[in-house]
Amino acid sequence: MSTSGIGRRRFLAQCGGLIAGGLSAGLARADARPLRFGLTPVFLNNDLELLGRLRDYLATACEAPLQLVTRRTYQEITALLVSGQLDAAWICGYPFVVFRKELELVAVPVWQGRQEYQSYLIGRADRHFAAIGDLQGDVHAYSDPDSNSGYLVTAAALVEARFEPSTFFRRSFFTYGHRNVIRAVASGLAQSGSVDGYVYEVVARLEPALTAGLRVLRRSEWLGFPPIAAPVREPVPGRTAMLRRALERMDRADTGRAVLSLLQLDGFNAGNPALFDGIGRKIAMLAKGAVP
Amino acid sequence: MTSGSIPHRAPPAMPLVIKVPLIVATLMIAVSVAVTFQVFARLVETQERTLADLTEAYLDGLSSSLLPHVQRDDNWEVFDSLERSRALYQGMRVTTVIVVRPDRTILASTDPIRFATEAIVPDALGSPENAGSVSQISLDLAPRTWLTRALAFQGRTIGTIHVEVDLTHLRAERRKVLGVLVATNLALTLLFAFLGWWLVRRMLSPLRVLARHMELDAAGALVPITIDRQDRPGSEFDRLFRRFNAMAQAMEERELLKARIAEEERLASLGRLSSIVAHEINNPLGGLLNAVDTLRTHGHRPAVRENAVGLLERGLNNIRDVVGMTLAIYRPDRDPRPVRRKDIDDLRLLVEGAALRRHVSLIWRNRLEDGSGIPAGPLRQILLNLALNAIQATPASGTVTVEVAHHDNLLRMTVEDGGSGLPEPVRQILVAGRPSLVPGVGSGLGVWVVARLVSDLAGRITVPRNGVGGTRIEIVMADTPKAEIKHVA
Repeated sequence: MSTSGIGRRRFLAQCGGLIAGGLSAGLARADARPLRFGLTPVFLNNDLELLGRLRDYLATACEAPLQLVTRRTYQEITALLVSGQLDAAWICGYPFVVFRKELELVAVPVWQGRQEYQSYLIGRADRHFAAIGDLQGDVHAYSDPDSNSGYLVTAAALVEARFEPSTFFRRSFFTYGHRNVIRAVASGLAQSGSVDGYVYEVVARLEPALTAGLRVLRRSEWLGFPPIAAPVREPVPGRTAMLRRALERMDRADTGRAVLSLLQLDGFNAGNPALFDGIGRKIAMLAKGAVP
Repeated sequence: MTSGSIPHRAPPAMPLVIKVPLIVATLMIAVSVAVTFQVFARLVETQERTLADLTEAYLDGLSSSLLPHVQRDDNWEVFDSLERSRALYQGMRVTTVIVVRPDRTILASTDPIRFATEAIVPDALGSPENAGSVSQISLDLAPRTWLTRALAFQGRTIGTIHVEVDLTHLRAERRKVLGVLVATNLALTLLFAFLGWWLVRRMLSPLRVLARHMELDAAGALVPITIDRQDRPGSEFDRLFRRFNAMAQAMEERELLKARIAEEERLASLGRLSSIVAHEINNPLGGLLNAVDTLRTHGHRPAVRENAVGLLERGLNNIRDVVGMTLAIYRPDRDPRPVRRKDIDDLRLLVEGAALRRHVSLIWRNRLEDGSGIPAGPLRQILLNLALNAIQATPASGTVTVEVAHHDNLLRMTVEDGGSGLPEPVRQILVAGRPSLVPGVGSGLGVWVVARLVSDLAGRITVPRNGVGGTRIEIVMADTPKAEIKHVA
């Protein structure tokens, strides 16, 4: 890089700065606020390399400093998002449907060519399973009470099979992470678990030892993949569109492709809210079944 | 003198060259056992203290991290905490951790297959009442040992942690240290024992030379030590060697002297015998010469001639017997053949002449049976010496009795005289066994020779004290001598 190049760039930046400063001081203050992007444990959020690359990509693509916000539960992230403390978050389809009026769909991941995934019921490889009723009396591991694949699908299936979800299992507990559900079942802490099918497949590929003694007992129907959502009332106007564009173009940049590779995703597309109708039906079924 | 008695031979003492290194090795073993024990005890103590401290720290950390999860009865978080703590405390070798509720049901464990959530914890793992047993941890416990810690919140027990600790590596380390200690101490002990052996051997080498030279050579003499010029002159061993050489030389001179004295005594005995023989030959010579004259003068008369020739024959036979007997006794190579009854009878011929000349009566009882194993030469010389001495000591018209008997494989010879009694010094020479000191000439030299001969034949001489005069010398010997006759003086 030549010194003349640096001088010219500095000069242009200073000129641009003067012009921009003169035009809209208030907007500049709003833009200076970092883009706050929330992450739920919907995917492998314990991978520091992934988080670093995602931050780098989004910060570059959105031309704004980026702050990744992680919390232990879906509920915490959803609350921050709905209250406008986050610009966007990668949440589950379940809270997206629940807070449909407050949230706007930004993008939906594409996994193996589709924007849908399944919920898995998993157990040890040697256990007998013919129908969901065989799980009665198990110690069962859920992922999160606000997770579609990690709770809602199983609870709805139990209701559909005319079981009471709160008493069907001898004991159920939440691990607040799909990978943790796999760990709980693999270690024997739980006899069965409800897990995100996408996460299970990725873990099976990256950590085959963890899933070696397990098998998928039941696969749900295809449901809308956990989306990236933003508050309807944008904290910083224009950021939702910017973020959507950045996500949709992720496969065009090296950093973005690295992120997609780590996530084992094909890319992100603007999704259709109708993708999540199936989840809505399960919520309705659960609400109906839960009414005494 | 009591040197003739055979001393009881004690078992040979262990040489110093072996004894001292053995003592060194024994001391080293004792020291090394004590040191090994001390070091080992300290190691075990340190291991146990470290283990207890580590376990205490582990349980403290575990308790504080588990407490909120146990309060919420959150089995996943308990499990997750246990998994993470396992990665953090790898040095502890914790194999299993179980967190139990107060009702003894399992909340979570690191091994849910064995200890499933909601199952009842086995009684063998202990109860909260046993909490705090970490201080009692010992490597002598089982390779895998369970420890218990109560989880208390605001003074109430809300759960119990059971930890299974694997002590195998500590026990293996203890065994390894013990092995190294024993091997090192053994090697050091062997090394010091070898050094001790080498040093003592080096220090005692002059003594070994001395001991080797103290043993008599084949000729019964001491071999002087060749003093090495490299030896420090004036040192203790140098002075010792020189004194030993002087002693060896004195012994050699004394042996030569004894041999010469014995030879002289033999010659003196020979002289006495020669006079007897000359006398025995001279007595009949007058009669024989008369017979020759008779033959010369009246030889033509058959009766006279016959009588004279008979006289000549008897006289010559008598002379032949005397000469033959003398040859038999004093033959230079001694007579190694076994003694026979006739040998004793032949001896009488010599002794009778001496008795007649001294006008002493001789009573000769020969009851020896043929078939004895005792050599004839020394026996005859013993009897001849004693008999002649007895005749010499007995006044005229006295009686000398010589008796040889054979009974129960024992040969018994008795010589009794009518003299004034044996002087005590001479008696001592006889009864003292094999005498070493040579008496003065004329004061029992013949008796000294007898004593040596009897000793060579493994016989025993007794001379009872007799207050009224007269001497009775009794010699008893086994018919088959135990020792071969090595040397007859």
